[in-house]
Amino acid sequence: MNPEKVILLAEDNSDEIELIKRMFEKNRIQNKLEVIQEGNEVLDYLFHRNNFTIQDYPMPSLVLLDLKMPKVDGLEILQEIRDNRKTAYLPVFILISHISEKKLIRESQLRVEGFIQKPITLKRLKKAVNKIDFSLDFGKQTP
Amino acid sequence: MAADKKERKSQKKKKNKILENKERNTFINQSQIHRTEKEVIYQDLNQDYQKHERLVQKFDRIYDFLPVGYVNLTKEGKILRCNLAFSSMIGIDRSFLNKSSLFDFVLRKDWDLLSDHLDKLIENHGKAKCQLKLKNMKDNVVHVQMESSFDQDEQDRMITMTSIMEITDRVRIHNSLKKSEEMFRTLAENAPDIIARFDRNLRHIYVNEKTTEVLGIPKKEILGKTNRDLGYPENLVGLWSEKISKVFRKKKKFIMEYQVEVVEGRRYFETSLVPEFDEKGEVISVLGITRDVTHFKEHEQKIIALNKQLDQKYRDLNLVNKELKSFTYSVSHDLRAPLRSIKGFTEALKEDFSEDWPDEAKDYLRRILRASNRMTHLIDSLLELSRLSRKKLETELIDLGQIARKFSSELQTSHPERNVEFVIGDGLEVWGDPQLMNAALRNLIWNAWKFTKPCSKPRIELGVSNQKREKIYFVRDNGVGFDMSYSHKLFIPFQRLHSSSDFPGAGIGLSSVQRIIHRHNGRIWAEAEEGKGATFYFTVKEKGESK
Repeated sequence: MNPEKVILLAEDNSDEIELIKRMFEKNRIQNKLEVIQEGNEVLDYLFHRNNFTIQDYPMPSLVLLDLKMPKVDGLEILQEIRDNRKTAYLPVFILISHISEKKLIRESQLRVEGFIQKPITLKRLKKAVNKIDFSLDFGKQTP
Repeated sequence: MAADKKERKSQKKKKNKILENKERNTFINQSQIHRTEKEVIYQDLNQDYQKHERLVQKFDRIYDFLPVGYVNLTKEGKILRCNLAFSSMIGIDRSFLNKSSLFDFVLRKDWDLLSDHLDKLIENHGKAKCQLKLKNMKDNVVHVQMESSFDQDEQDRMITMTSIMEITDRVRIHNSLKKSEEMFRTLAENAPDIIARFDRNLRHIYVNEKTTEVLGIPKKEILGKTNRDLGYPENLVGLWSEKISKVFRKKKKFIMEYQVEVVEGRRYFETSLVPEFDEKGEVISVLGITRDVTHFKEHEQKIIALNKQLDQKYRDLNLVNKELKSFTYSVSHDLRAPLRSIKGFTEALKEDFSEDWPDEAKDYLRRILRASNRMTHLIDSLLELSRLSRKKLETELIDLGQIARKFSSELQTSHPERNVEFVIGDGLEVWGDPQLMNAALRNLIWNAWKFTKPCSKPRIELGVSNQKREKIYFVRDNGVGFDMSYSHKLFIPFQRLHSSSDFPGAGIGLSSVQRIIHRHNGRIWAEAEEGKGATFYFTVKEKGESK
């Protein structure tokens, strides 16, 4: 497993972030979790603008995207990701509070790899990333 | 003497003889001349005669082959002589025609015309002219124009020299022209439009009934006058003059729209100016067809205004929808987020630290978790209710029995500890939105399932009773029922008739059912008795009646 596999979490709610971080720690997930709390910065990160150098901020293997983000909302971020050749095939999972939010994305006709219902548990995360043959890095822990 | 006498006599004789010879010669000569003269004269005569004969023949040929029929009639109308053109006009051989009467070939109703013609000729000893109709041997009517003058034959009898010209085509064209003119008049006179014809000097040369009606001026006072003469407003006179002149010049139809301010207000008109041509292709007049389109314009303006209103309403609605969408989205997203925090951190607390807490503290944690779960359920129910109100109806034929059977078996599988008798009747097909009706029926059955829990022999029945006007569906249970004095509160959201600890639930199920039934233009009500059970009745409007 490659510990450098970065997961980008685009989420503005610090409680939510804290709970996810806890879940990662509890389950000893080794993947680097990069957290961005503002919509425009998610784009800066992905397109390496405004101090987001590719050295310090490597391209993530997948993005966990919340729909309601300050400044630039999740749908706009998704639109930009899909419109750009560099990121068009980046796996994106939408974090939803309720299944009704799926409809919003379907109406936009933008491609997403899947949806993860909050709160994000290990089970939900695993089930989602399995679909794109992505394996979470649990390190060399003894079972 | 005798001799002398004799001599004289003989001399005389001789002299006489000479004289005689001389005379004779002269005479012979003269007669010779005379004869020659005669011969010459005869020759001339002969020549003249032949010339005459040739002329007669020529005349006969001309006479026969003239394109005009020619007859000589007695004053009684008997045919003395006729040419070939006439006989072919009638379609009968000339030999049969001679000596018959012209009356035989004239339509009976035109006999008077012919006798008048002949009388006139006799009286006036001059010329006469008339038009009448002949019938030929094929029984076709031949229109002719007859012109006669008067002559006398060898026996001093009066005869006519009559030319008969066929004018059937002319009459036919004239008649069809007359007919189309009549048609035009009928159309124009009865048209709801104002129709007027103008000459080059912009004078009215024809106006229809409607024109006089609208202008309130008699026809004869309009004819010969221009719009200016009639006192039209100056801007209208200008417009009309300009456009009519244009049609004369360009030889093309033109349509104009304009308004006229009258005492009652503004009126709108539409006028088609149509050129009318002579046989040389020159415009001889312009027909103006004017329609009062005020009503139409008013309707148009009304429609535009209505459309604007509708547009505004639509925009408002869209805005509301958007707001609603963003509101429900906020509810689902923003209300849940703090709940998740409460739940998430309570669980973290429980997992990480609560091991050696006193039982009381653990109980508090449980209560926090339970409350946040209930809150989550309430939010979900609220969202569901608003979704049911917004969803577009898509009706099809649904079998309620099938939905009930499926749901009952689901319930029995998930609650094996309960033994509920389901009675599902027949004829439970309704037109409705499958998703919504499914939700409604499941809610009603779930209610019955819930409130029969304390029963020893729970029974849930789904059926239909056919009333005169409509079908009334019902879900009946023998559960705890309720006090009918509270029945008016049944369908109010979050209103409960039983405590949530006895019968858990968000208190929104029946509101959802009512909303669904109302969206299907149906009615819903309930009958119940405490401790004996409840029956929920509902109707659904037939196909095509629902909103």
